[in-house]
Amino acid sequence: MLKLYLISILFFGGYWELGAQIGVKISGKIRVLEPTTMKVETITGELLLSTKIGKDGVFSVGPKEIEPDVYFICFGETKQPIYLTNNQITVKGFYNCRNVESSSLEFTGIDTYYELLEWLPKGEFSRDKTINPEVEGRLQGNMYSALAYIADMSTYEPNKFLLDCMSEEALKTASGKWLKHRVDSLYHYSIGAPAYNFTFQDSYGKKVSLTNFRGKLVLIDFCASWCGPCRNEMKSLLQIYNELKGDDLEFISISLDSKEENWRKMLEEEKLPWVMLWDEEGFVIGNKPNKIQQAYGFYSIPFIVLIDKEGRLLAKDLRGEQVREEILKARAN
Amino acid sequence: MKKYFLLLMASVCISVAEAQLVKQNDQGQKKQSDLDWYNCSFDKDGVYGAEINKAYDFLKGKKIKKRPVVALIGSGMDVEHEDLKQAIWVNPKEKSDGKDNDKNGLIDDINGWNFLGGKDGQVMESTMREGDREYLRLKDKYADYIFDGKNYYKVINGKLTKVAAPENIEEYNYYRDQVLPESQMAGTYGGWMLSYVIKDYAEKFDQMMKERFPGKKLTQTEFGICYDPKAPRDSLSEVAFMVCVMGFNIYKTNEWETVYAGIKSGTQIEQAKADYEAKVKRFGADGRKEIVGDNYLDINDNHYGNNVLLTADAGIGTMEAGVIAAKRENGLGGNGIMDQAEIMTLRVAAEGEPYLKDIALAIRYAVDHGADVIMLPVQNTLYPENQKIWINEALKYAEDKGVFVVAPAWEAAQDLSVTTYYPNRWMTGEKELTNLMIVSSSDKNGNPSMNSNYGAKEVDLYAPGMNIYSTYTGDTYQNGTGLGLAAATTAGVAALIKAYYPHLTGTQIRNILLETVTSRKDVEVEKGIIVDGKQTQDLFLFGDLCLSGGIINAYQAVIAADKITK
Repeated sequence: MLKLYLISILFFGGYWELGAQIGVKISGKIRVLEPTTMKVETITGELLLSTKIGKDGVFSVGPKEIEPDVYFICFGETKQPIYLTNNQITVKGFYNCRNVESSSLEFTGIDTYYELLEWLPKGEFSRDKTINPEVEGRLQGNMYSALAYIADMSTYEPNKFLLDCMSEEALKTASGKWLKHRVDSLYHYSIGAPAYNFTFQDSYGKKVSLTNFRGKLVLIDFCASWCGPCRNEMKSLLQIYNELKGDDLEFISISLDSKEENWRKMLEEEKLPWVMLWDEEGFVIGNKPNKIQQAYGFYSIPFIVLIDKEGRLLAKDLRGEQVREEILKARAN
Repeated sequence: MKKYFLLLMASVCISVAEAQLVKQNDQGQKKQSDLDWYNCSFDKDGVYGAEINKAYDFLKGKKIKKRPVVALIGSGMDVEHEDLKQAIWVNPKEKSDGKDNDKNGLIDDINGWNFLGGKDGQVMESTMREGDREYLRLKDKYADYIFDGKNYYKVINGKLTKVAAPENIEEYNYYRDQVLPESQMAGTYGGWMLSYVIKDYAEKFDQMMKERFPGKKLTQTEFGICYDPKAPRDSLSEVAFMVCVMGFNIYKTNEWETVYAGIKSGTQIEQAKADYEAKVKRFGADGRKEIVGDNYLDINDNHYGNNVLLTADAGIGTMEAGVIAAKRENGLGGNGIMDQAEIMTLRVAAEGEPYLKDIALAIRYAVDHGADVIMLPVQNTLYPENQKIWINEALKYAEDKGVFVVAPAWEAAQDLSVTTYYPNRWMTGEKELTNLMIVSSSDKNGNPSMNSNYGAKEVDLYAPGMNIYSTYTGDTYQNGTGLGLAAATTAGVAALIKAYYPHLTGTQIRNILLETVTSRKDVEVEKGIIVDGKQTQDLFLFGDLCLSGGIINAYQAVIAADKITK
């Protein structure tokens, strides 16, 4: 009887502690060369938590309830973005304020952050970084935008890709809002840049390049025979083509089929009246997109872009009626 | 050391792969042969470790006779590290009370001493290079001399003036041949003086041409007469002539007047001066006077420093200590070679090159406080004669007291029979030191570190030192590569022998280690070398790289030690 009593007390005690500790709590004992401070800031610069660390290196802050998201954890003058949840976090290691490079801080209780790091792009320069599309569905909520934040990628496509992985709800968090804004500004930034000049073969084996169409608006549709949504999109494109066709406008469908016969079969079936090209490199799934995917930055098809008369990118990632609108807009200018 | 820019890093840093504040520890799933692999052996684990595990199999049932004291003369230390704290030396006669209880002249030297510390608790985080220290010491006497191979000159009132030869010609030659190449300050100061010489010569050239071609427009063609084919190569006149020729190219002109105007205006002199001043600013001070306050040229001025051991460079010392003495089989980090060892930390090294006085005093401190094994900072090319004596004496003292001493060789791909580094066994000029080992670093595959210095006599053996998992500051663990880790493996094995066979002297331990290596004598290995000042690669027989022709082997060493003591 006594035993049981003890257990229930313990249980109750444990429960009580859990109840009191909803929120993030960061504590630990680290080595420091001189007293310093530990802070947690939001990515917009708002101070959430702060504590002094004395010579003995012992510190503790929180618990404080937070929105799970990417935050800056700061030791002294050094900041690092890390994904925090309402969790108990302990820190050990060494903060070397004189040579931060040789610091070694180890955290427990940030498993979500480590999970996210698995998807961090490997590229050294921010423009070379890409996201492995397999990440879709593997993370939750705003972990996608947090990943984008930490990854610091300067091109539009990988950021847009992560944005599309997110729910409406997740977009309301700090990093969600940040990513939305980032994608918008990158979109506008890439518009107007010279489009990558490809050379592919048509159904007669003739080499065709984008530069062959200077002086015309060019709509490029990246597709593949096995891609159902692409085939649907073609029907919509055909309608728009018939309506708007003229000497100033060219449509090109570039197939990313890996087998020529599949591509030719599609040509037979669709019988489209515009330029049909084949990229024999095929569509690549994984974290290494092929050359054309990298140049135009897409992870999924259909992917449709509009190029202006001087060969500059006018609009991209178009679907359905957007195609018509953009062509009309371009003609009006 | 000439190639110091790059290599400085090798000396002070054990290079660590990641440089992020928050680090992920993902070593959990790995095998010992990927982590603290110096414990492993080739026959059991497929890596060329020091066969520590096998040594313990042999020692099973035998009792440790003494806890060996290992003095690490080098970087700072995390004495509180969870995996090391049982192996930190404690000065038995000192108390932490602000008094010098053991009357050794140092206050509160509990776990060791920081020779780069001040009374107020401040510590030096960098030290000047030896060449720069020597430049500053000798510049007033010799920096102004310009020698053309025959005569001595000085720039007096902006004019090149012939002067008498320096009184102490031997010391001047030391300055010119050894200090100058090792000090950027000395080099740029020389350049500054040379810029006056060039101006002086340009004036002479101008006069010569005007006398020879009165009234004629002077071009590069006329300038040709200024070349004196009889002058010795590299004479001052030749140098000045070449600089003027370069002037025609730089100003993209054929007219002497343009070149001459440029030189006469003195902008070169100003530039050379600014260059020198920039070097002085960068290399000319390390704050020793302000922080430590001793006279580093006076060995008797020896009551200085403090007991702060947790310093910015402590990670290096902590990694080395982990190899030697991290607790075995406790589930934390790797297994140290001799976890009953006591680590005595004597900090003399920061970023830069350590002061010989600190090293000499640290050796004496270690011997006087019962060290069995001493690990020294990496070898260096420049040991000024008057300070080298202190090291000689200290090493002989250690030899007399039976202490084993190990120092890592530098990573400069140099042949030590061609380029002399210190310390070495012959440095005293008397009989060879018998307790001093110089070691280079080897990897899991039993290959030498590509850039390690080598020498068929000068390097004793190779020891595991690359990609080793060990303790790091603040209860953390990291992989690192560094020449200090090879020396630490050697110090650890020496400590292991000493623990079970305490009567063996440093000399005997060195002999045992040399004779019991895992022989790689006839194995052909790739090795970086220096040819005509350029780095390249060649194939070597391992036996030509070091005296023992192999890799340290604790298992064979304890068997040999056991035989001797029976």
